[in-house]
Amino acid sequence: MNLEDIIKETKTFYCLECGKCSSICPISRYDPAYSPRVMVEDALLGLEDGLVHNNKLFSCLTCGACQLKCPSDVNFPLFIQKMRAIASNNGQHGDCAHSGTTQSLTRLMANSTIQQRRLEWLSDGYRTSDQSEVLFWVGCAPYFDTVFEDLGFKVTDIAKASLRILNLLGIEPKVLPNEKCCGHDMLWTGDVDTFEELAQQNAAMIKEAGVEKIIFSCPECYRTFKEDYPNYVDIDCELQHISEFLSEAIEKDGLRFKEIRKKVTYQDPCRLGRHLGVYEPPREVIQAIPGVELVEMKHNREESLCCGTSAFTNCDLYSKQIRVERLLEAKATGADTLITTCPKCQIHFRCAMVNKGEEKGPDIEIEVMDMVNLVANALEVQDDG
Amino acid sequence: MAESALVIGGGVAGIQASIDLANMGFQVYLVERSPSIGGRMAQLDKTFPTNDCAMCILGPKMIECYRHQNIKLLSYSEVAAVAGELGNFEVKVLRKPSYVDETKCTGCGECAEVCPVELKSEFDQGMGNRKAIYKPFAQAIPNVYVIDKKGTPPCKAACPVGLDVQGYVALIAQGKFKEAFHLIRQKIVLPATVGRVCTHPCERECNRGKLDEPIAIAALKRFVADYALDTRTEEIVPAARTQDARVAVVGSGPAGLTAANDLVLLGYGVTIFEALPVPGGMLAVGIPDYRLPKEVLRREIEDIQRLGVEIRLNSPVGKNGLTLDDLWQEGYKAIFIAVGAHKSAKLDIPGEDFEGVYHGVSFLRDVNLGEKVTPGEKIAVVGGGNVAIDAARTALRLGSREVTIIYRRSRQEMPASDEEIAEAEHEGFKIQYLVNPVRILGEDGGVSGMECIQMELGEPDASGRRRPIAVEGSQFTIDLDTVILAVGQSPDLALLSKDSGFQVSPRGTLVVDGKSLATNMPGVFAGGDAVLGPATVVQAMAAGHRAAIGIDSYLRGDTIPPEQEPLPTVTIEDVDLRGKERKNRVTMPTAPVKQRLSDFREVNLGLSEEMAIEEAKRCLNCGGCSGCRECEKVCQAKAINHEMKEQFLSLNVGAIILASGFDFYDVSKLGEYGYGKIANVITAIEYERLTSASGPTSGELRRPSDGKIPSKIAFIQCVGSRDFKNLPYCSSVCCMHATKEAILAYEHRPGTRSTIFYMDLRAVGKRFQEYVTRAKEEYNVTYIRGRPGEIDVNTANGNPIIWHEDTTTGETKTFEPELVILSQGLVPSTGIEKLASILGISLDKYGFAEIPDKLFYPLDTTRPGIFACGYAHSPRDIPDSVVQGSAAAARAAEATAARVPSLVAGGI
Amino acid sequence: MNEFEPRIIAFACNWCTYAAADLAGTSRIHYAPNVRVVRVMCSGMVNPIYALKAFEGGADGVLIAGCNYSDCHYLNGPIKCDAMFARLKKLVHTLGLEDERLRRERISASEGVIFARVIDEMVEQLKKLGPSPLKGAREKAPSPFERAREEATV
Repeated sequence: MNLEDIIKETKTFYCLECGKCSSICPISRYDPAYSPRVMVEDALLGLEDGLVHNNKLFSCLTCGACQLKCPSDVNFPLFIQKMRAIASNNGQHGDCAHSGTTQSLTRLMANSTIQQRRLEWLSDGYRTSDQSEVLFWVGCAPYFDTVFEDLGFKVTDIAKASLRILNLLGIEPKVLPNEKCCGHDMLWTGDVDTFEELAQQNAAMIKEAGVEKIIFSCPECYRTFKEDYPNYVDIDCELQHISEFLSEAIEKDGLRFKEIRKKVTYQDPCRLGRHLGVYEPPREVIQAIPGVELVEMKHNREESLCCGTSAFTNCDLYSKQIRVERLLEAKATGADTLITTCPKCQIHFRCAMVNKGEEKGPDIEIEVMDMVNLVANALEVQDDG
Repeated sequence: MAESALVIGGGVAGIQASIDLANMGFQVYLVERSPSIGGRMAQLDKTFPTNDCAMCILGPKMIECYRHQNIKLLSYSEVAAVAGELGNFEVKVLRKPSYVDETKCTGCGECAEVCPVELKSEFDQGMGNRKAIYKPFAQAIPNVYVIDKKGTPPCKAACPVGLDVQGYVALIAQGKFKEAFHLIRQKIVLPATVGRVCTHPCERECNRGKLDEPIAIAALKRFVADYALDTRTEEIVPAARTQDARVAVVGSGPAGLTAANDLVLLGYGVTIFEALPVPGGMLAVGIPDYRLPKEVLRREIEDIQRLGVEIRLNSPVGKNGLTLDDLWQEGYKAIFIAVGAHKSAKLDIPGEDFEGVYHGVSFLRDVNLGEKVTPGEKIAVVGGGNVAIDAARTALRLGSREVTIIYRRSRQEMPASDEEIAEAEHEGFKIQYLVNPVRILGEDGGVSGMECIQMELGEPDASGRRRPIAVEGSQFTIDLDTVILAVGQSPDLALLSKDSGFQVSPRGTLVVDGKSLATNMPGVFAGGDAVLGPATVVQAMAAGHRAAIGIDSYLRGDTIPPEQEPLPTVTIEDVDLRGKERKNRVTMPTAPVKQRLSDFREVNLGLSEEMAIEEAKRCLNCGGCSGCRECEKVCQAKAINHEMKEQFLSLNVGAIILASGFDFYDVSKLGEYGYGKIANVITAIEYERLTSASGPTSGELRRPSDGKIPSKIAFIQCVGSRDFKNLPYCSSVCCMHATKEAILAYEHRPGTRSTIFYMDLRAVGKRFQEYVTRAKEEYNVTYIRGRPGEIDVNTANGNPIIWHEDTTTGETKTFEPELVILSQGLVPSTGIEKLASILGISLDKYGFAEIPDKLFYPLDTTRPGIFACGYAHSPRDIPDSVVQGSAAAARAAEATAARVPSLVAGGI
Repeated sequence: MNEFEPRIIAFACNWCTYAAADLAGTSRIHYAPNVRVVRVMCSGMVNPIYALKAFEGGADGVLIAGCNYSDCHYLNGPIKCDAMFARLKKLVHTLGLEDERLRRERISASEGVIFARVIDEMVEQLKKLGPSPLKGAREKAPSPFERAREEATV
C-alpha cells in the first residue's frame, strides 16, 4: 500500500486540521512533540519520508480516542498501522521495549517447523478435551509468565481461571498445543509479512481442529481475529471474549456466586472497548457477584484512558505518566481493586507500580486483577493449579 | 373569491411571508404552535452585524402581522391534516386548549401574579421560571395568557374523588391556606377528618416518590383543615332551598354526609337518618380518638348541618324504626342507602361465643360511644386490617399489657396501612404473621387461651393475594384472656325486608348501577361500604358525590351529564427534574410514646406552618396548571375557562408555506464538552437569554455556578456541527453569533477578554467580515483556530479548563476561562418529521425540506403548492430567512394565480 | 554428501572465556570450526535477546560462557548471568527447542582446553539433533535479521 491508498482508506483526506485529536490524545498531554494532527498534515502534504523516519510514528497507542471524537471520522489508528508497514519496509521499527524480546519470540513462533511446549502450566485440575467444539485461545501467556516474572503475577493464571470457569459451566474446551501468537504486535509495528504467516498457520490449525467457537481472554487476540484476520485468512468460527460469554451464562443463570465484599473499578481495554464496542458485558459480570460494588473512573467506557503502551514499542517516560494518571483515577474512586479484562493492561499497570524508581511520586498502589480471577474467586472453587 | 394561503410557523420568515401575501390581497392563516409569534429571533438579545436589539426590530413586524386585516393568526395551534392540491388544500388545524378566551383576555397579568405553580420557562431555555398561566415573553403577540396543563397529575388520578391535590398543595406553598381549604372543601366535605384517616392512594402514586419520598399530602390536607377550623371568622350560610323535593339519606357516614352536602347545595331538602346516637358512621365509632379526636369530627359535621342538612340520631331505618315504605309515605322523593358495613364477620371457630371474645367493630364502637370496656391483660387480635390495629392500640390504652395481632398471611399481604403497622414498634404490640386460630379455649365461661396453627402461602386466590394453607402438625397454644376478632365486615341490610326485591350480591352488598348508583328499585340509591364492602373513607365520599348527581338527575327527570374525559396522567418521565435535588419529606411530630398510651390523646400532632410550606414546596407540579382556580378568581375580564376543549378548524387554502424554523442540537451527547455536568459550560442560546434585558438575570451576564460576572470567556464553535458523527453540515450562523456575543460581553463589562475557538470563520454576508475585524480590534476578541478535545473543570473555582492543540506549534495546551459558551448545532424544529408526513412532503436525512429543483424552483417542496422558507428550508441567518419568506410569498402567489406547471415532474 | 554442519554462536566474556578461546588458539588446540565467538565484556551483560536474535538469524546452538563466580572482573556478573539464563532457558524451552541448543558454561582464562572440549561436545550433540527448527522455515520472508544478515553477506 502506498501513501495515497492509505489516505483514501483511512479517510484522512477529510481531516479539517482542527486539532481535536491532539487535544484528546493521551500522549500529547505529556509529550509536547507529539501531535496526531501534524502527522496527518504531513501525510496530506506528501511528506512520506519525514513520517516514515519519525520515531514518533511508533509512539501512537492506537487507542482510538482520537477516532472516537474526530469530527471527520478519520481512522487514525488504521492510518498509523498502515504507515508503520511502510516504515518497516524502510527498516524503521520503533524502539522495542524489553530489548525486543516479545517481538523476537513472536517472529520465532512464525517458523512453521517448531513444536512448542506451551501447555506445561496446564495441570490436571483444568479439564480440556479434544472433542470439544469450543476452542479456548491461550495467547502468549506462557511466554509472558517468564518475561514478566518480576511483576508479581502469572499471566497463565488468567487462562487457568478461564478454564476453571468454563469447566464449571460444563465446557471442556480444546486448547491448541502449538498455538501461534495471533500476531497483533507484528501487525501494529508494521511487520505484515510475519503477521500474515502467523495468521495462516493459526487458521490452518483451527480448521484442522474443527471447532465452531473460539473464546478469548485477551482483547488483543480477540480484536485481531475479529477485525484483522478476515483480510488475510478465513476463520469460520463464532468469536467471543470471555466477558461476553460469561455475561450470557450469568443471564441464563448458570453460575452460583458467593459473596465478595469489594469495591472495584474497571479499566476498559482499548481493544475490547473502543475497538470492538464491548463495554457492558464485563460490567454485568462484575456486578453479578454479590457484595461487589463497581465504581466508575472519571473516564470510562468510550472515554476510557489507555493503559499507556501498545505493542511493546516506544515505551518511555510519557507512557509512564499516562499510566500514573490512570492509576490515580482508579485510586480516586476509592476502590480497593482495579479490574481489567486485558493481560497487557495488567502488565503495564503492574510495571508502573513495581518500577516506581527512587523518586517520591504519588501513591499509585492498588490491587490489579483480571475479571476472570475475580469471578473464579467468587465461584467457591479450590485452586489446585 | 380571494386567494388564501396557510403559513406554518410564526418566526421572522413566516411573519414576512404572511405580510407579503396579505399585502397582495391573500387571506392568510398563520399557524404558530407556541403561544406567541416571534420565533427564535425574539429570544435573541441583539442581531449581527448591526447589533440591533432583536425585539426592537422584530416587534413592529409582529404587530403589523397581527393587525393586518388579511391575516388571521392562529396561535397555540398546529396543523393536523392536509388534503387536496395546489389551489385547493383542505387543511384541518388543531387549536389547542389554552383555557383562556383570546377574545376576552387583555394580557393584564393579574392571573400570573396569583398562580402558585412555577415551571421552567421555555423562552428562557429553562434558566428562568414562568407560571402555569403565562405569556412566553412580555411582547408576546397575541398579547394573551395561556394555561399550560400537562396532564392529570398522578395524585389527582389516584384519588377516588378526583381532588385537585396539586392545586391545594401549590396554594399551601404560597401560604394561601384559606384558598387551599376552599379548594379541598369542594370535593371533601370533612377535610380535617380525611386528612387524619385517609389511606392516601395519592401518596402512593406521587411522582416525587420516584425521586425521593412522596409529598405528605394527607398531612398537608389536615394542616389546612385545622387552620381553617381554628381561624374561621365567617358564619356558614345555609344553602338556598330551590327544589321542593326532599331526599332521605340512611346513614351519616362519609357517603351519606357527602351526598347530603351536595344535595343541599343543589337546593334539595335533606334529612339523614342515623341509627346510632352519634353522627359520622365508622368515622365516629370505628376510628379511635387517638387517630381522629371526636371534637374534630363533630365540628365538621356541624358545618354540614349548618348548610341545612337535618340529622336525626337514634333513628334507625329498618327493623326498629321507620321502614322504606314509611319514608315514601312521609313524602321523600328519593332515598340514599349509605349504611356502611358494620356487621362483623364471624370466624366460625369453636369458642367464638365465649365471654371475653369481642368482635373488632363492636369493641371499637362501644369504646367510642363511651361505654365501659375492660379487655383483659393478654389479648390476641385476629385480623390484618386497620380495624385490627385500631383494636390493638385501643386495648393497649385500656390497660392491656400484652397485645398480639395474629394474621394469617405475611406482612406483604397485610391490608393495614404502613403507618399503622409501624405503630406496632412504637407502641409495643406484636404482630405474628402466618398464624391462624383453630379454636378458642375457655374455662368458666371466660377465655383461657387460643389454639393456633402455622400457615404458609400457596397460590394466589381470587383477591390476587396468595392463599394461606395450614401447615400440618404445627399447632401451638397461646395463653390469653381476651380475643378480638377483626376478620372482616359486611353491611347490615336488615333495613330491607325479606321480599323487598332489592338485588343483593353474594357478598351481602347492594348491587347498583355504576354511573348513577341507582339500585334496582326506582328512587332508591346506595353507595359506600354498603355497596363496596369494607372500603375507604374517600371511596365512600366519591360514592356520595356520584349518588347526589344520580339523584339530582333522577328527580329532574334528566339524564346524567357525561363525564369529562380526563387528560392523560403525567408520569415521572414527563416531569422536568432539572435542578431538583433529593430531599426527604417532613416528619409528622407525634406525641411521646410513653405518655400517649395512658389516654386517647391524638398521636399525630400536625405540621406547623413552616413545615407545611416547606413540604408543599417539594411538589413537582406534574400537571402544570394545578387546577387551584385562583386565576379565575382574579380575572376581571372573565376570560378563563378551565373546561375549554381542543377545537378543530377547517380551512381551504390555495398554497401552504412551511416556515417552521429550528431547534437546538442536544450537545450533552458530546460528553467531552461537559455540558450538563460542568455548571459554567452553557450554550449560545442560553447566553442570549442571560444578556437579554428581558431574560432571567435582567441582562447581567452572570455565570451559573456562582453568579459572578466573568472577565474571561471562551466560545467553542462547531459543537455538534461539521461533525460526521453528529451533524455533518454547517449551521451557518454560529461564527457570526459568537462574534456578536463576544462583542456584547465587552459591552456589558468593558475589558472582558473573549476567545473564540473556531474552524473556519464564516463571515460571508454583507458587512460580516468588517464586523469580525472590529471584534478583534475594538472588543478584545481573540480567535484561535482549533477544536478543543475536552473540557475539564477546576474544582476550586468552577472555571472550565479547555484542552486544545495550538496548531501553530503542535503543542497540546490548557486554557482556563471563567465561562464557556458552546455554539451548538441547529436542527430543524422538533416534530418536523410528523409535520412533514401530515403535509405529505419529503425531508432530507437531516430534516430539512427536500427541494427537487434547486435551480428554477428553489422553494418548492416535493408536493406542489407547498413551499419552504427559512431554516426549515436550510441553515441561514435572519436577513436570508426574511428574503426567503418574501420569496415564498411570491412563489405561492405565482403558483396559485398562474397554475403554471413547473419543469419538474409533478411540481408547480 | 552434504553433512549438516551446525552453527554455534558463543557469547564469551572478555576477561575469562574469550581469553580461554584465545589460549586454545595459541596453544594450537584443534576444535570444531563451527563456532562464531562474540566478545562481551561480561557474561552478566548478556541480554536474552542476543540468544533469541541468534536463533532468529539461523544459529543451531547458542553458548553463553563467562567467568567463575569468584573470578568476575565486575564481581557479580556470573550471578546476574545465571538469573538471566534461567528465564532464557524457560523461553527457549517453551519455544520447543531442545535443551542442548542453549548452553551455559563457566570457563576461566586458563582453560583453553575446556573451551575446545565444550565446543566439540556441542557440535557433536547438534549434529545428532540436526538443524534448528527455527531456521529458515518461514514460508514468506525470513526474519528482518536474517534478511539483514543476508544483505550484509552479499
